[in-house]
Amino acid sequence: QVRLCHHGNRFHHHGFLIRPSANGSQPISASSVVLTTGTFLSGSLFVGRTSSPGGRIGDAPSSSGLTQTLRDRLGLRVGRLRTGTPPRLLKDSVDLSLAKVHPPDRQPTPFSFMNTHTRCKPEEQLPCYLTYTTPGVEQVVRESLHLNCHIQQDAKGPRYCPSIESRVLRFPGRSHQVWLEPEGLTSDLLYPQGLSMTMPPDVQLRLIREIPPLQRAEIHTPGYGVQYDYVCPTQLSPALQVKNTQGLFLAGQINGTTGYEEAAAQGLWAGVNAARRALSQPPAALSRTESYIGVLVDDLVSRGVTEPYRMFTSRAEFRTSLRPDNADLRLTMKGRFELGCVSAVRHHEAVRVRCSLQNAVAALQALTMSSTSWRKKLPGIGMSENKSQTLSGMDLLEYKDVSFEMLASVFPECLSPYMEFSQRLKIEAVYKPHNDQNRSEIKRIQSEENMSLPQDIDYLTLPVSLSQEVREILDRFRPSTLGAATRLQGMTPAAIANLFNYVHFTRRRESRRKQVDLEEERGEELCKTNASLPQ
Amino acid sequence: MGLLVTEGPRLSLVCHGRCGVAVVRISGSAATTALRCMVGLGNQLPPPRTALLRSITDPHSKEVLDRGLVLWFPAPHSFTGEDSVEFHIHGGPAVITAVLQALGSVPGMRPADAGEFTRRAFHAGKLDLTEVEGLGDLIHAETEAQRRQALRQMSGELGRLYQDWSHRLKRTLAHVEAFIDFSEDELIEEGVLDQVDISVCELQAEIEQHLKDERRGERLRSGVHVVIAGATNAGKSSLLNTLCQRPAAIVSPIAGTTRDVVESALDIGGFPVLLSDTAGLRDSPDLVEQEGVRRARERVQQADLTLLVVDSTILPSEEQEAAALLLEHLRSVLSSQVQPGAGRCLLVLNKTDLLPEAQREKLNLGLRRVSGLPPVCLISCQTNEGLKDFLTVLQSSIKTMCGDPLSGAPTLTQARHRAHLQQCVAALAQYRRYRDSDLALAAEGVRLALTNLGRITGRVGAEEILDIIFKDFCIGK
Repeated sequence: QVRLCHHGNRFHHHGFLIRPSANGSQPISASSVVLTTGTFLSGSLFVGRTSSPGGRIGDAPSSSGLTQTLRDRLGLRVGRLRTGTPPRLLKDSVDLSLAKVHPPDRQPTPFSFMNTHTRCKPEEQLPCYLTYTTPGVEQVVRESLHLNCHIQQDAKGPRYCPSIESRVLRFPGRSHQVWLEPEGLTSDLLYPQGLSMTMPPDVQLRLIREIPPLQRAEIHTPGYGVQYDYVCPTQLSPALQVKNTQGLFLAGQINGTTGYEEAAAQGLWAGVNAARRALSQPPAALSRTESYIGVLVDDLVSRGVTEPYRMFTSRAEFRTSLRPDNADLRLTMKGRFELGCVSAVRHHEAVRVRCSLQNAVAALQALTMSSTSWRKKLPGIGMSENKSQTLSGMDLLEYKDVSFEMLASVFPECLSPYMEFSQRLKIEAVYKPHNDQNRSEIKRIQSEENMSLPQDIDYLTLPVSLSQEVREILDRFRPSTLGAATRLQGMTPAAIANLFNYVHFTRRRESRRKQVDLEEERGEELCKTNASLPQ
Repeated sequence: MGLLVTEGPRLSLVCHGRCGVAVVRISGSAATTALRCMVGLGNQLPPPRTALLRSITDPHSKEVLDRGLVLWFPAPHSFTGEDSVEFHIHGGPAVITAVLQALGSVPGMRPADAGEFTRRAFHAGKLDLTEVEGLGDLIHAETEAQRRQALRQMSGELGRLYQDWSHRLKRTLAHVEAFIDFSEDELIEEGVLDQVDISVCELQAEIEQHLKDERRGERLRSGVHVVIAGATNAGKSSLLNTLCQRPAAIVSPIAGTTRDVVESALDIGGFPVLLSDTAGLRDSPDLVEQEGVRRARERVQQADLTLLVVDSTILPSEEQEAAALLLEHLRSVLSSQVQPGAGRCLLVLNKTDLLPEAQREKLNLGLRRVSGLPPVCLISCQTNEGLKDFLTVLQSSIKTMCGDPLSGAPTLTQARHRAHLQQCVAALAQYRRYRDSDLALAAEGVRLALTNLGRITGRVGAEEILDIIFKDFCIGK
């Protein structure tokens, strides 16, 4: 248990003091702190009708002291969310022959750009199994609803279905998927994805056994629900720093997100910025035009959350540019030079890849022939007969049936050095024309993101033509940039224009006026001292 | 007014109704394309900032649409800082429509959003400080005018058609997105995409058919929309009749006669006006009357100018009290977007023949001194007293409105709608082109189609799409 104390007052703080619990250990002082409380902030566990304090079964419960500090002493708006997890099943008690096996990838793709293959050998991987719920499952859910106090069917619940109870109640009369996943390579437990549940353990067992492969399954740990506090993320800057408490950064479920990747991305980003602050460097921001981290952070701090936030590609305006295959090119350079969180080795590799791809694209573009000649070299690729123009290798690569390998077989001398990038080149060719079209919109969004709004504006009395509604929205959300303001619900184009005008022109005018006054004063001083100049 | 263009050239039209010359402004990367394919220049660009008299032709049919002045402003020396072209053409609606439609068919063209030109000029640093201060108000005015025009277009059959397309397209996009984001783990059947294919086909065919139909069945309603509103028996229908000088509406002393909206097209001082009389605004148990009141309120929302008629005999004699009552009445009648003093409303105090002379004078002078009230006219429809002055005030309001390039002009709105619909159809074709090779690009086609349709029906955000996804599909954690 730790207590987080804020040194100094809100506006002139010097740092944080972390006081571990009363076992007498020394307090730790820090100039930046990243808080990642997961589901532990005033966490309550729910199984059936009982609830107990805690954030995770098996871990010690957290106190509500931290929430108190955040809410009462730092004045942060706090909300409550709920999530849940399925029971863990003993693998040996499950009849997998009754489920459909889904084998793993034959050539698993390594996560890191620095690796050419995964550490785990392809044949060492374990398969997953697919099965389905039955009408019996639905019946058990309905019968036990009165025993289940965690289920929330009102409007404030998430739009998606977080538990088997909600799936069955919202989409009744259907068969729902259940994935049986090994908990680990050497674990003897199975994780039934899709069966998050919070009913009493004996009822859980009854429900599980309604599913054929699980008819004799044994539960190792029952499923349960967790309710926990989160901090409304509109109170954070794009660096994930608490706006009214410099040096405090929040990351993960405390910001209202759900999912490992979402938490990891925030942890990385808050960590980078916390370090920058400790090194007295200005905070960094990522654009939603260049990374999913940018989309995530912008969605959180500009709009806030009403349900646990999950990332989907449909949230990204430019998902054809934000791809997993080009992640190295999008952020490595920035990470190396601007942020200092990328190693020389990684950077070196990214540079190698970038150069090679540029050379490969140049080589492809230089390979120009008439469409008739292309048709002769690559028969059967579906190019229309009446097309007669000069096409480059890049143009050809756009065709559905053309692969880089095919082109390399026709022009081995200039293309085979780039075989390593065949897949990436094909992707690039297919998406390039589309991405070129987006370029000016990307530029516009980026310039709006770069126009920062001071945090101390009193929107309610600002001498600018804004409706009362807009003022209240701005006061409530306090967007950090003009771009963030444009994404607030209820903002009008006129309000944006007026706001920007005020911030950039009026303020500039004010500071210029102050400058002029200062110069006048100095001028006066000078004249006074020279009052006795010779005639 | 503007036809706008997407991230490429933008069009705008400045002028309305009775004007000799209309200026169509194009800005962006395809401005030169427009110039080259619509103006006979011998494949050369004209000398910059020099007016040339040329024929303007349709790029496809080669039909000569008009003969007017053409100006070329190469970047950065133009209003927006981008390549810009101006066509100064004859101001009649037929010519304007033809030219706008022809421009809409040039690849890369789209109508500009409200205030977009000014915003672009602003971002390019082309506006000085005083112009910038009025920027917000200008954008507000343009957005408002488009909103009113959109409201007019959206009520009725056309509106229902657009809403139906929007609803179906939203659903289609949601299903494609669901397939992209969730098909791996969740139960999104392959059948979902087949259904999307059908929807896209149907929508494309319907929109194309609509574009071919040439506005059949939709009456061209041009002119400044003036609405007569007020409480029951204030004398609205009398006013209409007086203005029209013929009994268009039934004037009866029994409150609640005009059940619906009675329209009359007039010429006031040389300006085209569409005058609407409405049902008296009051709570009524009568269902038919309720509907009439609802339509009245709707009309006020869409109006360019509202004449609020008040029975002057019900006003308190003390002018401050009278003013307060009038302000309250104004607020309850006008749309929340309109400030009472903003020039879109006139207060008509009727039945002054029933007031004592002294009271009349008091109201006349006293109310003029109150700030925040729109212009006040005291008239009597019975005796025609005060009518001449009222007509002068009305005429000058309408003249201001006509001088305002943003009001009226359904021709422009229709041209804008056509251009957006053309873009929508082109985008749907993109879905079909990429459907089998790359679903992400196919989805982009549907996204683009919805963006373009959204320019008519209102923008759709990512959250709205997610709402539909989660409603239609059982997506787990």
